[in-house]
Amino acid sequence: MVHNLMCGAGRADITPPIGAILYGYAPGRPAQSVGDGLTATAILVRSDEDWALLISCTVCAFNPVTAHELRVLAGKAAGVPEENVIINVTHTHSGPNTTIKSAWGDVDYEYIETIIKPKIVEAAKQAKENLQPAQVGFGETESDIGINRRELTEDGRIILGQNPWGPRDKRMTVISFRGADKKIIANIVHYCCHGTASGMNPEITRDWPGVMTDTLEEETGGITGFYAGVEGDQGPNLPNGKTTGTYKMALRHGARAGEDAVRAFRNIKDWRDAPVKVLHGTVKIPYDQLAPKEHAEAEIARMGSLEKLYAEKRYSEVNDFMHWQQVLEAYETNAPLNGNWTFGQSIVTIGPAAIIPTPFEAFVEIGLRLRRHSPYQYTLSLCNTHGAYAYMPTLGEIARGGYEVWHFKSGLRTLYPLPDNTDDYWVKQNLEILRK
Amino acid sequence: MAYNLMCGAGRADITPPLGTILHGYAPGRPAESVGDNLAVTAILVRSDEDSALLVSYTLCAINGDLADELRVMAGEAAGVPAKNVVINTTHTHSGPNTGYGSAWGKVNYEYIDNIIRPATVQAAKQAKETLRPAKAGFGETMSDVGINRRELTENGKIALGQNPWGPRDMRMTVISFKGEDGKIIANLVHYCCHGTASGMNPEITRDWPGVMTDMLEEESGGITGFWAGVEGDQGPNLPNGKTTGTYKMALRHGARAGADAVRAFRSIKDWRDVPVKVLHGTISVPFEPLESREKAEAEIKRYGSLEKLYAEKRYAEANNFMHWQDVINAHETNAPGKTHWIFEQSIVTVGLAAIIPTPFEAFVEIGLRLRRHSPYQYTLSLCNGNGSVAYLPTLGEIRRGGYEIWQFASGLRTLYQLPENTDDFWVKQNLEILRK
Repeated sequence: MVHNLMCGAGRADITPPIGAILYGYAPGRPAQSVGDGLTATAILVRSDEDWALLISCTVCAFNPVTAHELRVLAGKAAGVPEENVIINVTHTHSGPNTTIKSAWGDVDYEYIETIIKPKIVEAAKQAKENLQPAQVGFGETESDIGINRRELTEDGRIILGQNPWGPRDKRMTVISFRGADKKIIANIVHYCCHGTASGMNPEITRDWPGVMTDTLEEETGGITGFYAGVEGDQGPNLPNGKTTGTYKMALRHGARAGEDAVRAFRNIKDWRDAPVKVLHGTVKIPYDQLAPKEHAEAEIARMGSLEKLYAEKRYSEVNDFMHWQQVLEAYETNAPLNGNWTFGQSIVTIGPAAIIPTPFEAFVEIGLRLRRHSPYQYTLSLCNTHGAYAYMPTLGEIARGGYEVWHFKSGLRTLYPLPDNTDDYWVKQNLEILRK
Repeated sequence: MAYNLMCGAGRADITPPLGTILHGYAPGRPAESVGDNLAVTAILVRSDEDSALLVSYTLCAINGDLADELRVMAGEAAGVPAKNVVINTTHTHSGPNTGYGSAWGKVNYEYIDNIIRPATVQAAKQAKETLRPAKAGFGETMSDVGINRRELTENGKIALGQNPWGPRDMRMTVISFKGEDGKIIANLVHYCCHGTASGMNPEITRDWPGVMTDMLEEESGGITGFWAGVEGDQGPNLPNGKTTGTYKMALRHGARAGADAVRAFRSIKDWRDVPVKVLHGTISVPFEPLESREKAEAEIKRYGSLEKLYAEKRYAEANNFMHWQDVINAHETNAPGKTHWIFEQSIVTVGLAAIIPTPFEAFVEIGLRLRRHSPYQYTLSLCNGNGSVAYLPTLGEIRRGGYEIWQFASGLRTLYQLPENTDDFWVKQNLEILRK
């Protein structure tokens, strides 16, 4: 059966100016230099059946509202319905804040308005202009770039470090598109790992995925984007025994990842015409009840003031403080006590591959479960896609606690807390969509 | 510094007669043939500092009282203090019941008295008689023989199957002892995996570890025993996608394991004189309060009768029924309340290696945690060592439930329930002993 697959790709520079506040680890960390420029990469795929635009930005995360605006803008530029546009981020912590106000700082709306929006339009347009008949190939390899970062200490606490026996997904997948002239048009690299090897550095950088995509791009000649897999509990497997280091470490780590990506690419032998289909559905998860007003008031009284918390560098409590303020506001405005978290899902399938947006930093087991039960040969869950609500831990890991669990349980970005078995809801309902 | 290490090894046959009820999966499963003979293997190690006797039985489990008796008998026969004797089982489900009365059947005391006790003495004596100057070598390899068996189903339930992303310990360790003549005296193979590849077969067999130890024995010439590592959540990585199969599968799986064990043995280059030391200490874990009599009576009433449960093959519930009977008995006899589960620990160290008896079927993460924080290069946790209380799951896995969690949480063999973070107690207190 003929599907008439086509592909086009575009790229735009989204590097912020020096002095932009970098998002991660502490507030007020200004960029002092450009290690490597940030980018937006757009890959447009079309067949007789459907079409989709896959955008990857080398920033940390987008809030759901911004992500929606970007889907609309990019869709218009590429001529694709907004619900068929995927907005993914590579999760570098060395770019501006494009998500929500938190202890790490305010959202850089100027950057979003003057750079992100026009540049994403530029990349999407370019992808449309380059659209040409294509074949697709799928390659895989094992990569040791990532490691579970929830280190279990001797006394049973979770810290950010390395957990060699924690779940991980060593599979790196490359989906490549080549034209009728056999030249590579574009590559999608998928792998589950935080883009945080640089740590609390002063350089603007795409972190390790930047070197990786550069390497594959140089090797193949095709525009290459990193589409980050579910990495809530996955970090760079750095030689310092941690998952954050220095810019130099990020470059070295990227070189290692680049070799893996090239190996996965070289595994591709079967180039084919394939259908594009976008599977739509709604994922619905019942919220837990809003925390009692008295509890919120007591927490605010206990913490004192935002200014005090900032002064004492108690950043996680700053986030808590803001959350409890929102809870009080909800009571003051008579918001309902509970309801459902609802997400309009759009799974992009390209032949045997299914690309599943996840608007959370989901733990890797969730992606592995979906892969195991999915009818698709290549089932690639994307992290922080169409927004970033929170971490999504697994039911079991909630019992151990730690930073990500605190973040999820606090309901920081959803106001209402989600249930402990949110992972089960997510897996079940996405499988239903995949099997449509 | 000279330690004057010595080693001796003994072996005795413990094959039961045909017709013996095999312990596992269902009650009343008689042995119809002997696939391969069961054995008890004893390795005696001694240096100027201390001595220890390591005894491995190709049985499922040995209950704590019997283990204590066997430690005394074996110790007397070998000239070693009972507290320096470690009793371990390979956890085959194709031998008689030497553990606890359960829905799978009663303890086979006739077999224990007529075969196990005399054979234990025989093997221990032989180990003493063959004691001679020795050097120890330590080898490791990675082995895919085991896999996490807590399969997470699509709907979030735990089934006994294969979980490719669950924690596992691929490390297989061989500790070898060779005499002054260069001949191998004994080998100790350590790996974390249930001895259950045969499944619900009618043959008496040591299961896959039998073929493995045979192969290393043939290759090295030394008496070889399998000292099972913590395997509560680890099963044979069988090609049928399960962790139980047939006797034929067990033989094939053993051949794979045997090749790995030989590889680990062949990696040994450094043979050395090392000290033997046994580290003693007390592990104390606080019990939860005894369940109320009212709850026990309600549960008994809900189940009806043992006969009914057996007739309906509801074996897990039969175990529950017996537990609730015990609870009522404790209330009726005004048994004094127990506040702690107490275990006298004896960790055998042989140079760089620490061998840690665990009277539980502990989950593999617990052994991995101990290894990570232990000061010993080779830290080998033994499963069902010096008794067999219950499964010992990790705090996180308790949230997911499943067979092992039910067994642990029910307090079946301890009457009183252990706390959910028993793993933390176990790790912390064993580390304290290791650091003495």
